[in-house]
Amino acid sequence: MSANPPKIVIFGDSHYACIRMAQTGGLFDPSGLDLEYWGHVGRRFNFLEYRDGAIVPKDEFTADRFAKFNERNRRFLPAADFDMVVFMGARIDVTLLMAQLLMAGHHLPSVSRGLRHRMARDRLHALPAYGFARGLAATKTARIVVAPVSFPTEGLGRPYATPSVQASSGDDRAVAWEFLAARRGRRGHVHSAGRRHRDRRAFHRGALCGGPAPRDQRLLPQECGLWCGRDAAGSQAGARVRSLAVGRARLQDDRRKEDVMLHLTQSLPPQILLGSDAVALAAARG
Amino acid sequence: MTNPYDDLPQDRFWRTAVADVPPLQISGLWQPKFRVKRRTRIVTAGSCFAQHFSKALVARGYRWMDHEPGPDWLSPEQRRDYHYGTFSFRTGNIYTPRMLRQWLSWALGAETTPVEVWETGGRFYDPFRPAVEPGGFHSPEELHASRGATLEAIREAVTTAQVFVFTMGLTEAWKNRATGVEYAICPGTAAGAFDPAAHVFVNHGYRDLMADLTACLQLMARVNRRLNVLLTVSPVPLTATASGQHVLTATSQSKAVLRAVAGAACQGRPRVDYFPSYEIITHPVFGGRFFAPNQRSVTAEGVDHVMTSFFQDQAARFGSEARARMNDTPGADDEDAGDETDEDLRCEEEILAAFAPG
Repeated sequence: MSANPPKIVIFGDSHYACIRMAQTGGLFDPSGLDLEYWGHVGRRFNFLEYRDGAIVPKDEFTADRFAKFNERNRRFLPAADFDMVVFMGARIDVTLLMAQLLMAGHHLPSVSRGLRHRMARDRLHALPAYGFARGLAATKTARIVVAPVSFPTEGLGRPYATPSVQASSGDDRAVAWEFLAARRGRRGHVHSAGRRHRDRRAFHRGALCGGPAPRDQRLLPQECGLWCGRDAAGSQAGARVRSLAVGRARLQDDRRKEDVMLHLTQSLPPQILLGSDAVALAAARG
Repeated sequence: MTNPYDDLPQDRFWRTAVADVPPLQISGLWQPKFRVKRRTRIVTAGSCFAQHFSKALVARGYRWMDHEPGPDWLSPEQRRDYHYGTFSFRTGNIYTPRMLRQWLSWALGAETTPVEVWETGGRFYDPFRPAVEPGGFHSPEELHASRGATLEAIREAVTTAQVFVFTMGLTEAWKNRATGVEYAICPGTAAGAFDPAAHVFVNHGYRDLMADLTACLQLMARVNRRLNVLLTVSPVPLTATASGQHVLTATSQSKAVLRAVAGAACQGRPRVDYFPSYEIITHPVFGGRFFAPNQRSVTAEGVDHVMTSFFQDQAARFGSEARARMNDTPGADDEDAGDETDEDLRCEEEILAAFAPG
């Protein structure tokens, strides 16, 4: 173990608890990391703002709430205190955007790549929490990883589960993801998710593809947490992943056991990394 | 009757029709040849001012047809920037009859679509609609696929419309010296690179304009014999001229020739009409009140007066229809109708202003 273990903070709404669940469930071992959690369930996110390199509550009550669940009772979150800030869920929901990108690519070939980039940019920039991520990244202190809100797997109808979305192929989904990835790229910080991820897992399952809803979502957070925690930790560790988890992780599922190969990332550049893995794992189930 | 003027109505005499009438009460400038009803399928194309026309039609619940509306989930800003819903198809501004002739020829199969593209910084721009794709296309293939969709939209528009409104804006243009194709804008301004060996300036005269407009009318009539065409001339002055004249006199010449062509095109053609929006905005009797301080942009008051005149003259000639609610969904009985957006008008020609000396 390093004398100065990497300092990682998991920031998010209820999604952030999934990593904690994965940790307490023994799905990965956080030793070797200085791991913190800073977050709160949904509505309190409306009372946060970005200011001077930190995410800062707008009022004392909110600061109290966030401090309550943090190991060091932090009342605000400065990027400079960490090597990595992981946005877990954090109200960054790209479900509709992904559906629209798939529809655009599938049924509207005349819709240009430029317009799809614009759609991705506008959607992300409309999300306050994504603005927090951009602000923190601009400090050039911590590496910022963003794992969007996982895709729902049940109860989806229009405008998500349109025929064109249901008919989308792995290639279609890979292309759609690239428009999100490009948002990172345009900032000069591209995280290239493994092709295996994109092809086989991203945006692949559930009502988004028109099939029967394969699972409820109760077990998903833990799995997401496993994936993201491992990915974040691994990417933080250096040029190659040194996973916190074992090389093969067994997903806990009532109906099916599935081995998930460890996602080996390549050398990751700093700043914003829009991690697709949470969503990818959501899609991978079943 | 002692002479032909004795029994003429009052609007044939300057004093009774103009001098003795408050400017905003001057009426009857247009005697429309055909009726435009709310259910009439109307297509618009042309220069900047044509955008006012479509917006006014939509606002009044008329059936303006958008044949290339784009995805319905786009935001108003995205639609504006990518030229969805600006005209009935994504051509951007069509300033000259030659440009319209080109588009119609390509769309209706009379001519082969050019393969020329402009590349700037690894992005690709359509020389015939460089502004519709901010930042350019990813590849020439994407550009041509997109243009193909626009050509299909034009084809559909022309074959199904009942009224085609075309607003002529300019006589000046730039064309490819070798192929003769005319560009939407001077190469090297919004995109592309100017090459004096390849690009040549043209200032169309009456004969060329008339020939191009006649060809346009023939092309459209060939696929839609019942199509009515409503011509207008943009009152918006030139942003810049390459004619060697002062921009003011160049504007006068350009507009005068276009106006003459429009008038002549209507003669003997019952399905071709001219609506005098140009006169309503520019005539001295209105004292320039409809121009913004830059003496170029048309004010909202001016646009409103133009369109009020349009509907009043329609009603005077054909009787009024029941007034539609202003908030009616445009073309509510037609899935193809576009959405109204509170967008600014786009004028690619204004790009030239950026190149003007400070």
